[in-house]
Amino acid sequence: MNIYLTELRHQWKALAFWSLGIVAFMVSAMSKYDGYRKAGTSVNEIFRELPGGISAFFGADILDLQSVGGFFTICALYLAVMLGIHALLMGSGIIAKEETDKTIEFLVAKPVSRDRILLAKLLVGLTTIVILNLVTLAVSIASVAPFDPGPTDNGDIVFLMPSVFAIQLIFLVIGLTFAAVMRQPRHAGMLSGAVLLASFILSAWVDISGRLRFLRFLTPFQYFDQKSIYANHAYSAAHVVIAAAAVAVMLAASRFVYRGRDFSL
Amino acid sequence: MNIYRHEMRQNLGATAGWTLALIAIAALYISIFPSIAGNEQISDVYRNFPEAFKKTFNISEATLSAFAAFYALVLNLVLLTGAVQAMNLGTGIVSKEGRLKTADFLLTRPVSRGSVLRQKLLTVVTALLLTDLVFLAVDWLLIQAMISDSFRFRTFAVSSLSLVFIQAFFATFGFLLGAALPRVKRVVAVSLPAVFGFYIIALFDTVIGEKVRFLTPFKFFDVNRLTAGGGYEAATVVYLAFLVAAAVIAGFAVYQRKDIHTT
Repeated sequence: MNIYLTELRHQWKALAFWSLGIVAFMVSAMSKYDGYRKAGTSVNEIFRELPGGISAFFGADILDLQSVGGFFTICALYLAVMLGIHALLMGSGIIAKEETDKTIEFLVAKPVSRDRILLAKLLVGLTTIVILNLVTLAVSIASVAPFDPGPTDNGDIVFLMPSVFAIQLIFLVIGLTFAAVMRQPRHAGMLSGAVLLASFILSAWVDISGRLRFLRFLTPFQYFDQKSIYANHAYSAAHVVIAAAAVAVMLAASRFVYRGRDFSL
Repeated sequence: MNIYRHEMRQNLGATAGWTLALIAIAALYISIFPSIAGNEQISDVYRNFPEAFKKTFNISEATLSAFAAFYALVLNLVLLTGAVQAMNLGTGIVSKEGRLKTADFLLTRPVSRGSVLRQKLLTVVTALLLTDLVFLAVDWLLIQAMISDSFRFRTFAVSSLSLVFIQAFFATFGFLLGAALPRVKRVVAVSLPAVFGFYIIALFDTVIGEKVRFLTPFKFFDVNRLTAGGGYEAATVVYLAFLVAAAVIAGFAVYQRKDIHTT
């Protein structure tokens, strides 16, 4: 419990900055939407005219981007990337820092098992991503409010947030696993960052090319793709199951390796 | 020169990795062009250019290749990735001694801090130029091999130069942050938010208006215009050069007197 509380106290400042970032993002996104509406330009046209299949990346072929809900879905694609970055920095940092700060000897000399350390740190990670997810939900609902959304639009936002959370969870666990199993955990942040960048680029590629659809199984951004979730109004059960299994496997692997790993000092 | 050689050795692996990543992105995207080439709407892209621009650069619907518009998209992702690489490198190399507790080892050697920093900066420049040279050479070969559309070498070279420009900005910006921040515990925690922050500012170009061109390096130049055969505006190049020089000078000034944590 002490580890949990100490770690959580260290996170407030970072959480405040990330929340500010989300506010800035949503406010500018919705003022862009407002600009389109005032100028009477069709948002659908703008996105459909993007060259080279990029329109598919924004879901212009399946969404009504004119509606508040449709436009928010595009924002959600970016929110998922932003919160994913937070989650992977969180997951990798919280484990790696004991070794980069040379505090690991202090910690493991206390009468707590390594399993407990790992568990406490995982819980801190979960707490922060839940908080950030709820902040994002509140900010999103507040920032679309001026566009008199119907109850369905707010419902859509609530419906999309679990997909963002799923991406946060996956990247939190990826970061945590890298830091727990690598011999040099200080590289874990970089490596999980590379995984996120690669997933994002691959996800965009699958959307744009419309080919090799099986590659969708390689990138979490396709598992919880906000635009198809919004368009079909459903999560894909298969993807949810695979993601849950992947998270479980990674956690089991971290626990297994972290128990007996030599720390880098 | 020992520090330079040591840093180069340390960074060679990462540089090779980033170069491969850039090549993979370009190959992945260029390979889909042939299959979507048919339904490309050049006229829409063309219509969005201002008249004056089209006149200056002699661009007409006939001379504009469909691949140009597509290459702008590829370049966008390459710039994003290249920016992360440059910022990581710049921030990391300067803040490394503080982070790895090797500052007292290095700074007690008979080398001035200025010399340490100069060699580190030289490493950054070498690593990035190596990345860009290899990447651009392979990129051009990929285009030659996979694209039948005419895409002039000059246009390719001019537009791809944006990678060097954007890396110059992010490397020196990271260099300054690495020197100025009291201690950088984790490089990615500085570089990723910074790069994606600038990237997201660029998405809201229409909200911010004309000023956006000076706010984020991702808008210093319009990639769409570059791949269509346009050049760089003198104002932005001068502005970029000013920012780069300012960051380097400030970085040196701060580092000379910095209290470096050794514990």
